[in-house]
Amino acid sequence: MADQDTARLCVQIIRSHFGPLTATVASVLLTRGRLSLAQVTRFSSLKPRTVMASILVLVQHNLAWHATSDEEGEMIEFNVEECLTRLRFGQFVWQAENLFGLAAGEIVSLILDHGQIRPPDVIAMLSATKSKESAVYSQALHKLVTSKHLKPATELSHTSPRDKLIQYEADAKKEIKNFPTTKELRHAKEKAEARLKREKEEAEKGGFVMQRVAEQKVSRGVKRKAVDEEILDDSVYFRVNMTKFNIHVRNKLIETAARERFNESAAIVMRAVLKATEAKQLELSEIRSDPISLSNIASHISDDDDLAGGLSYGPNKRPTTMALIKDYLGLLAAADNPTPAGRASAFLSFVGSTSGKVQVEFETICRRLRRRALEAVARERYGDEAVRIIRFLLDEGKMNAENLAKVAMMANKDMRPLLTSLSADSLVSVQEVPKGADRNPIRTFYIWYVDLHKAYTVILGNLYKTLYNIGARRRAEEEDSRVKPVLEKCERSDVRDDASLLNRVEREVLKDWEDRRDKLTILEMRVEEAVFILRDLGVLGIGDE
Amino acid sequence: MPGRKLNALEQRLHQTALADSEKTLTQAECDALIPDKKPRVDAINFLLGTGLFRAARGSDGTLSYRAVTKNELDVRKDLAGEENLVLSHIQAAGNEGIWTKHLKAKTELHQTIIDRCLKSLVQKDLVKGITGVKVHPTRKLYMLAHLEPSVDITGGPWYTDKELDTEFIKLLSSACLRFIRDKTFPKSNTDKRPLYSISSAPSYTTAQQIQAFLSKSKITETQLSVEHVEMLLNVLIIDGEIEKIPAFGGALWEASAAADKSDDEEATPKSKRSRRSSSVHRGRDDDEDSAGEGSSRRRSRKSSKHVGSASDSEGHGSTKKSPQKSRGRGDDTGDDEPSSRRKSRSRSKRGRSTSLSSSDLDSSPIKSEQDSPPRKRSRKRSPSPQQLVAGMSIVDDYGGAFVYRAIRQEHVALGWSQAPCGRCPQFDFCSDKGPVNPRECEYYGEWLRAGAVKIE
Ligand code: SF4
Repeated sequence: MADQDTARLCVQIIRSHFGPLTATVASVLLTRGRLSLAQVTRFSSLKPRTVMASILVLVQHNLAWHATSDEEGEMIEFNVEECLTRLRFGQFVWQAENLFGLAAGEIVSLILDHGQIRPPDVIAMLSATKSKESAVYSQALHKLVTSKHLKPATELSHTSPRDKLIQYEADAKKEIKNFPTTKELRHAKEKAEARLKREKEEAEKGGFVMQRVAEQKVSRGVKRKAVDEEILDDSVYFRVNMTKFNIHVRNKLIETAARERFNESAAIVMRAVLKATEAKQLELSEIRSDPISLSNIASHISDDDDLAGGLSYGPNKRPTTMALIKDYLGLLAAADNPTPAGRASAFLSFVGSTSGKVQVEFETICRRLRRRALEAVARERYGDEAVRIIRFLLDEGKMNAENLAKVAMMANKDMRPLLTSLSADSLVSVQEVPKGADRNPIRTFYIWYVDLHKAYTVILGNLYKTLYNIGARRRAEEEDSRVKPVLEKCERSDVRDDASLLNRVEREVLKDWEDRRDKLTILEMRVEEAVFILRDLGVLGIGDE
Repeated sequence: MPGRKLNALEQRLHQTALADSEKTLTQAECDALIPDKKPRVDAINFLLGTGLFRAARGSDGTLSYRAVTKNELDVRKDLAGEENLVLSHIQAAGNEGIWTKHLKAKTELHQTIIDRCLKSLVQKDLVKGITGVKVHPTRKLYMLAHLEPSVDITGGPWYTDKELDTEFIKLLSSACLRFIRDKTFPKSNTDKRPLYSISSAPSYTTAQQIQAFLSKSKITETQLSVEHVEMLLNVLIIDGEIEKIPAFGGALWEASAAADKSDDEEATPKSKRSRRSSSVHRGRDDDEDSAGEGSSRRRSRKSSKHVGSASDSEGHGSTKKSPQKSRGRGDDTGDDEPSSRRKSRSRSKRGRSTSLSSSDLDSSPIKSEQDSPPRKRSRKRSPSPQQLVAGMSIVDDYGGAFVYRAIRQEHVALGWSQAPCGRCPQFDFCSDKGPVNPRECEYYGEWLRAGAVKIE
């Protein structure tokens, strides 16, 4: 179940991707939670056949989980996260194109269209419509799978992970003999999580690259490494591994942050570090990357990249590229600032004492980025002073308004209204400590603090609402009485073939509409990026905030 | 009242006290003035008796006397008993002032009487009323007319006319920021936004330097203390404009950088190195006796790694790890180094191998030397900054040795603020079916007409 704004956004996404009927079904599932097929049919007042088809579509796209329990039979639940990720699909295709070429982009786009699909079908469909050789496609497909951008669809991905988690936790708890302590309970939970994760990895590995055909070769051939021996299992359905694509999005953000914090050249080094470890980055929840050596980083920096321009040495010093990279790494690791504040502002850290390797501190960076997003909202709405307040509160914990005014060097009379309006937006929270039993507001301490979790949730809600508004507006533009007939005309097959069948006015209307659509879509993308920072990067360190 | 005129000693004491800026004499000053005890005590007692001196105890417990002028005394003489009482309480409050409510509680007089007393005292110019600024802005405080209100009440340099002077604060902090930025970023006319690398960084500014700069500049007449400057800097830190780093931070990095340099140089083909190192090994027969010294030095170094050893971390930081490697390194880098250096190095080398053969740190030193396993290379390295830091666990207590450096802020581009909804006053009210809805929203209409979207 999702809150109202999220639900509306999801329904809108489903409508634009799958049409109104599926949207009705989704809306029922979103507003009422987990339902059985019969219930969905009743609440949606659609024909059972239609409901069935819609659910099938949703399942195919991993938008619906089913759960079979003994008491209730088969139940269907909506997968909100997956649905919201659909806003990112365009970006995924673009990334695939950039990384592996046009063919890969087409494959990803096709798979996204169909949810999950088998390799032969991919090749068949693409080579039927497009001009390229099927070999090109199978090569690209292979690359996508080995780099884990595609993953096999497993049975597991169709059941709600939460169900499993609850079940496993219950299992683990059963093992506890006595009255369970908190520690044991926590332990049980961790155990359940680990089990789920293991299972997921197991399942996804199982259906991976090496399959029956190739297997015999592997078992008798010693050369396991011969990659070209591996072929894709034609019976396995593949789907897009969103996490992997999300990792690219994140890395891009980190690079941008490094550019802003330092300069272009530092960003180049940062990118090289990220690139060098990218193959091993599988989850957004990784706290830090694998250690990586200096020479490895250097190999990801091309000669055209200007590193010398970003650092200033003495007039007659010409450092080598290696020394330059080293110095950038020092900057990025905040090596000259060993205070806690310095460590919190670092991008990298040096590993241990002896290796000379560095790691990317994803957790630190992501936490910082999320905070920046929060600050940006505060700045946008209430100005720099609000940001100052929030930062003080985050650093110092709880404070009353007078002390806050003192350290922030602001007048009391400015501080109070600001705090009030910030708290109205949940950017800061207040704790009331009455001095007496009567709870008289005059005799009450008001202590301010930032409840990050709450703040992020509220902002996210607002972002979802904005996304919905943008989408709604786009639809409204599309259905505009002037635009609609033109669009319909465009759909006609003869017009599609020959654009000159449109008259001048129509063409202008069309052009205008396209402009508006593009603008709204770009806007949507940017808002979506903020969502990414707040939600997807939030998998790290939620517990301690 | 005095039955007689003041004698010479008493006169002198009184005059000196009046000449003092605070009109007070400490006991020590009196002692200096009249060295003999008897006449001094008599004189002071007489002055106290006449009311020309008032004894007071300072905050540190020392006794001091405040001189009262003749005029003051005359005025005081006319005061009614209640006025005197009120006045003495006001006087006791010093430059902190006393609130009328407290005055009432202490004197246990009726409000109207207090009001009357205060009025007459103010008329006689003995006390003045002020309104507190900082702590209790609405309270009316009274203090002696000639006193300057304390900083606690006025709030210090940040307050002008009892208001926090935000403009003034802004002006000063932007001056600070400019000053720090000048020192932090290299001058350049390219758009590359260059930075100083850690090793070639200039010395960044301290709070004292900033204070000196502010008092020299013509920005303000107000004298600011270092604490005041730090207040400003704190706000700048929170605003994300500058950061506070320990002054030794650069040295920390250099320690590891120096070691790394030798690391880079040593990236020669390993076969060559192993050949060389074995030759070094062979030629180690001269001056055997220094071996003991070398090994003991090695041990002590092993136990203590601190920043101070920056310079020799290059030479010896590696000695504690695997022997054959640093031997190779010593040879590789040794060519262009002073011979004394080389000698000390070779000595420690020798010490090492001796200790190895005697102890059992490495099971087969000779063998490993021949095939110089490359995988072990990563092990040898002098302490990284992190490790050095770990050595100094309480970094924050590191004296006052902090410097300030400007930073560039990393903002996340928040797409939301570009959307009309981000700023929309109707945001909460806006809904699909309501009168304010996204379909007909005028904010969007305007936004769509407003030309192209900014491309990032
Ligand atoms: S759609 Fe228009 S009215 Fe609604 S929140 Fe956005 S800007 Fe405001």
